[in-house]
Amino acid sequence: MARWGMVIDLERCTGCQACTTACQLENTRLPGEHWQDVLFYNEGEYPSGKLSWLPRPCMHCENPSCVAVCPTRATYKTEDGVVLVNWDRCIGCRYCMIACPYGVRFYAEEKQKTQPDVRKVWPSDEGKIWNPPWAMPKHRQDMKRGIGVQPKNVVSKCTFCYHRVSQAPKGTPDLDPNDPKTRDFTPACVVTCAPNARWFGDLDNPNSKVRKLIAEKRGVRLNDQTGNRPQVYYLAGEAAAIPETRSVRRKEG
Amino acid sequence: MNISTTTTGRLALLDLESKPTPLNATLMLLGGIVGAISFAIVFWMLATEGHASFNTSSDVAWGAPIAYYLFFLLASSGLSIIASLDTVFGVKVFYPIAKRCVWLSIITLVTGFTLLALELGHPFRMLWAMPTGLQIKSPMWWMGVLYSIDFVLLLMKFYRLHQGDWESRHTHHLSVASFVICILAPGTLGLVFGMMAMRPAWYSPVMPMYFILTGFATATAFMLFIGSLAPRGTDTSPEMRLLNDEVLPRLFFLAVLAVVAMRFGQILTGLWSNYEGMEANWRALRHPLFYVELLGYMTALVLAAKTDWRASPGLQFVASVIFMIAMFSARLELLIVGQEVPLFKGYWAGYTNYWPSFTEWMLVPLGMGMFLFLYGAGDWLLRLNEARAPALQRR
Amino acid sequence: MSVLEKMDRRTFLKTSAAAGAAAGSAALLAPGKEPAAQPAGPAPETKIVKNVCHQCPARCGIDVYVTDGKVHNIYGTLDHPISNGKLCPKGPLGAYILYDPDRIKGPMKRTNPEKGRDIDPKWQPIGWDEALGIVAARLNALRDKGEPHRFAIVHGRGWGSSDAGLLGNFGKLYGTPNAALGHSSICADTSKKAKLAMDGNYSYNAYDYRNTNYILNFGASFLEAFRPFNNNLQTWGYIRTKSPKTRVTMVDVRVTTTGAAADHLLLVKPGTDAALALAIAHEILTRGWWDKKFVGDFADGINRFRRAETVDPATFKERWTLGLIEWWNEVLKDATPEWAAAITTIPAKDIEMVAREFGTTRPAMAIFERGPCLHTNGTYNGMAIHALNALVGSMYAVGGLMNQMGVPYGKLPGIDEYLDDAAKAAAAKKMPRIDRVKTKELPLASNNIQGIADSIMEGNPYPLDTLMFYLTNPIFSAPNAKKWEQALKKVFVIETSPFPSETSQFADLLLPDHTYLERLQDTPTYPFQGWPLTNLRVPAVKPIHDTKHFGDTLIEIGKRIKGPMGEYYRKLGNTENVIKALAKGFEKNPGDNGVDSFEKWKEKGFWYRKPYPYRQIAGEFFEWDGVDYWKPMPEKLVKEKLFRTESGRFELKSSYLEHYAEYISGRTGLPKERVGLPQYFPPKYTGGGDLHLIATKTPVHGEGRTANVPVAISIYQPVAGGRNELFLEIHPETAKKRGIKNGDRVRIWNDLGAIYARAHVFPAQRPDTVVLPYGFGHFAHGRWAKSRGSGNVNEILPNVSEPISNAALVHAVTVKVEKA
Repeated sequence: MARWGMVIDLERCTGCQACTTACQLENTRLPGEHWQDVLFYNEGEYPSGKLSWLPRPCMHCENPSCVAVCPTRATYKTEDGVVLVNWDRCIGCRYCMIACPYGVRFYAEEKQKTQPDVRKVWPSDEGKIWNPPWAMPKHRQDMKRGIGVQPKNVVSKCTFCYHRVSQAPKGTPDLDPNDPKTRDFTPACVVTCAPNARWFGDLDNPNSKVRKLIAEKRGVRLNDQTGNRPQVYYLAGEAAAIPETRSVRRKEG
Repeated sequence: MNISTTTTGRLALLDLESKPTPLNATLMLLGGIVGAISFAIVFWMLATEGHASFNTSSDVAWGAPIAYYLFFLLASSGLSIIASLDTVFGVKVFYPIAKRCVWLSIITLVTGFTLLALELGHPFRMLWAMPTGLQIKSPMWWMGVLYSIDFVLLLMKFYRLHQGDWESRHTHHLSVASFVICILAPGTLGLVFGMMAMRPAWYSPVMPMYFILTGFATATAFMLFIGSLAPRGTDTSPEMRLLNDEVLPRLFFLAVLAVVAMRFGQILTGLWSNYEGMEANWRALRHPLFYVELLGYMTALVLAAKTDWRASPGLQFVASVIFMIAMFSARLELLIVGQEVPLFKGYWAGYTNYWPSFTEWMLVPLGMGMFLFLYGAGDWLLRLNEARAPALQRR
Repeated sequence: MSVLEKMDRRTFLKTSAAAGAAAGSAALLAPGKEPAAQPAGPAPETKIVKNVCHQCPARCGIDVYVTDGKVHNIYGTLDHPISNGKLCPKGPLGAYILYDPDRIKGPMKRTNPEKGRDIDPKWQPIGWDEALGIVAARLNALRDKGEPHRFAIVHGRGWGSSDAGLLGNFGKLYGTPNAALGHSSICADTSKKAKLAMDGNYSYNAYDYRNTNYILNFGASFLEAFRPFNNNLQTWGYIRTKSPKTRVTMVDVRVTTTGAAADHLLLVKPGTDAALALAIAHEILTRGWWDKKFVGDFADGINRFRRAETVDPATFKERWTLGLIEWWNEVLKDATPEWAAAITTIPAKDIEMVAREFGTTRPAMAIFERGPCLHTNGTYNGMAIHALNALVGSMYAVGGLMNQMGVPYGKLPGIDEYLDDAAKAAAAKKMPRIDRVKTKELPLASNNIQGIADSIMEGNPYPLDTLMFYLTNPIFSAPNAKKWEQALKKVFVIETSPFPSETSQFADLLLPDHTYLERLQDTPTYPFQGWPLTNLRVPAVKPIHDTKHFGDTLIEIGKRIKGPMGEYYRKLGNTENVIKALAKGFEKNPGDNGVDSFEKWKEKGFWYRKPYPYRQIAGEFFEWDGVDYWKPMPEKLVKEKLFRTESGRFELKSSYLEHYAEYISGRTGLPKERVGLPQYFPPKYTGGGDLHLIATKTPVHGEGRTANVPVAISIYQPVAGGRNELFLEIHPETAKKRGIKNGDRVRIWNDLGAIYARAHVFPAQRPDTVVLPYGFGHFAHGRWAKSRGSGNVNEILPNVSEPISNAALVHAVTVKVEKA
């Protein structure tokens, strides 16, 4: 069984947020419910101010703390290494959101930051959180895997586009978006990433491109002290950097 | 007022023939009205807006209702501990309030869970999904299990006492079990926060102890508050007077002192630490709730420090209410600052700002109203002033 | 027949319920196991339709995923040369644009004659026949009065021959010089003018980024807005990790993602780019780093370029440039890094460092667009930068600059036999254009959209009667936008946008276009890699409202004009016929992907023909001979195809500008004999403020089409904007002096008026510059576009234009900022 993982090269990443919008459409996310977000950081001042950014999907950790805290096992890890939410079991307690060190889980039952509220513009008559015309076709949606438009009052998160990835032929080491044979099985953010800053493949396969990149370019994981062992690795290159802080201390005018 | 000595066998469950005292009537009326109005508002908001009527977000996942829930649940465990001082450890001075404490423990638990249910996405799904989930790695799962057991044991214990069975082995075992659970349950609730290494401001092995202690302190304040409402002078027994004028105020003073000492240690550690995320403690220092907490503790300490002050029902009332407000603020503050330091939210997010919305605030009168109503009703119908029959003789 | 097909709905539901229960009990028994797959019905077919993105001019081929008649996904087309299967953040927004609930659902006419921002037009829905009839009646009446010139069409960035491409003939047949008034003067006409002055090509360049090793970028937001944005991003990923890594220096007036990702970011004082470029040229010459094969050399090989010393022209033998020595003697010899440092605020040592890197790395290119050009000295800023490309020999070289080639389309039916007396009489009258371009007032301009409001208000050169808009909204997007509100009250306005807009608020008639996913439309490429490429938009879904392709609207109007003009358009029929006629051209020139007919074009989505046929190798020009660049090009051919200047060379002393010496001297104050030389003179800032206001375009800004997209709104981020709300970026010291704190609402004002925004204190920004993203402050648009907390910068942008190219000076404005 594969153990899917992602590699993101920060030297190639341009901070354009194409991953964010591709994910939003592929997965019918609400505005602001950014499963695949890009975070910006800055430090220093003119003329030597530094600006950096970090694309941040779910890390699909090897030891996911969200799975451990979920009192109903709504959140679980698949055999091929992906962390999913079973929307039929989720009670909306949000403990997983507390326990995720990477802040990649969402409870969209919140005041919509973009007003007017899109959920009222495209309401669902099936108990879903919304029902826009561009919603993922019903046959691809899967409530037990947290894929598609979520019902009301549950937590949602990046699925590594499990509806695509899980269709890949067994034993595929790399899901390369530039290869027509594997493109349809590759997560949306990887497919669309214009600077080709993302790779997706089997972390358990020593011959996979992701494994090679992690070795050659010394891939690192975020916040490794948490022990969650993310399956998303970052390549920092020479002109990019993992942001050194998650919190904010800065001078304000 | 007379301490009933119920040796006369099994009585009806509810004393429907007795008349509510003016205090009972006032509490029920006040609680009923406040509770019903606020429930109507909350229900309407949740029905139309859902949780968008809360100020919670994907950045601050847990809102004020969780703090209210903490407040009531930890108080419940504290009250259960006070009840156990008599029923388990035989500290006889507490016997006149043991049954009342069990009832209070039950209704604070019910109130707390009601508030939690209004905060959860699918409260009813919890009823089957948690038992079938069996996620033994989740402190919340254990919390659910232990509080469920706690609830059942409290009901059984209360039923036993209500039946006048204070002495049997069965009751004793029940009391011991209930005591063990009411230590474990708030302890587990402490672990729900204390185990979260990714939230350094909460991460602490001492969190269970802190929860048990603050719950106990809240319980003493509850009892002091209720005692201050009770009539004084010739119509009360000497036992009751001893309890209300000396024992409870002293226990309250000691509990508050212990809370202050612990909180002091906590905040100092937090301020000293450079560790990522611990700046939540600096955030706390800038938060108005911290000063409500601080001032509340200090005022309560001062009012309970002098023997004749702490014997005064008026000052008892003031001190206990102030302490409860302070503790309530402490719960809210813990919840808020623990989440305001964002997890990888980026530069623009800065600190997250959270303050409860109108709907979230309306859960406070809802909880208070529910509590007052249930207490008034219990005091009227459930003979809460009953105690162990041969107590006086045995003393 | 499958089992599922046999099942009726009830059995199906029962089965699913059973499966659900089974999944539940499985979870009960073995909680660690993942749940069983959800039973699904037979999957409906998903259709992939080829289209072209509309959010910027790049022409990215896209695959539109349609299931059950609904668009639910958009990805780049894998074999498309520009998108290569990729998209920028704007690409997927097409689905939201298509299903925008605020779209105009059909033609409508105004019934409230009074116009204003807050006045309800009282729209009355009408049928297309009636709507087109109203237009035709007006046009026929004008024509009958002998005043067809009083009808004008203003258009934004048209897509190809089947929309804006039809306007030229329409004007000739109808008899107006105003049928195709372009918007390029609020875009980047200056950079084209700078290139025209030097290499003779009035166009943006095509670039061979993938083979260059150094990019010296003056203000082209490569990773945010510079087209083709998507391909730039792809290029970036490649060039920054190839061997050797392409080094990038960004010269800009603000911190951008491009600047942050580059090796160096030089924060230059707005409008002083020429000084920097000249100092770099000075360094290249004094240190002997210029490309001797392309530029030429001293006859004896000894470098005589020495600081402050003139050079005898006789000692230097120029190859492909013209006027180097004159330029040195007049301008460059004193343009030292120290001199430039005092002007640009960039330390001399940084200038020397960049000059060394740029001058000693090959291939290298200097690129620029709107940034340095939209100042009162813009053409000269552009020329000083473009001159660097000559010095390092990058024109038409590997890793250098080229020009985009056109597409060998088939011909449309000729119009000559359909020109009636009215049309001929109108042509004979030689009426000036309403925007006064090519008159004595604006001899060098190609467009003057920003002047049309004045023309209308003053009735100069004549009073306008009817004004039609296509893909442009100058009442929002032109300088001094508020003036348009007055102007549009005075004419009959026809708006064709699919969305409500400021123009529609002031319009008399709405003839809504399809959104792009509903259109059949040709879209030849914008300047890309030189070789010809054209694409086809194929409708992904049937139009979801009662709308009409703009090309068809135009043809339908044409059919209703009396006389032979109507005949012509009846013969033309519709845009599909137009496109079929265009595709005829592919029969003789099949594309590299086998596209040789309309049908194949529709199937593949694009036609292209590689390679670019010209190349400069070490100072010699060659043509592609089918195998390689082996066929030498004589100088005459180079002049005809590449350096289309008078001299047939890259002119460092521009003969084009010298022809207009008097005019230019009058407008700029330069001595007549110096007008041909790339040089620096101080820019004049407009607005009368004390801080430069830079209005930026952000990566998710889809050029007026994404303002009403909630997903786009929710991801606005630094460095321009910030999650849901737009911010004015301001340096902490600048803010402090004005008592402004982070998050305060501020008033941004100048001679023209005031707008409001929230301040974001951003220490990396230049203290003399504030930055506010452009594109917000809509007063009439969809529900989300209107609910933004920031003003429209064009309301405080004075209508001042670059003296030579007539481009609106969007970067020259200054403002005052105070706490609101």
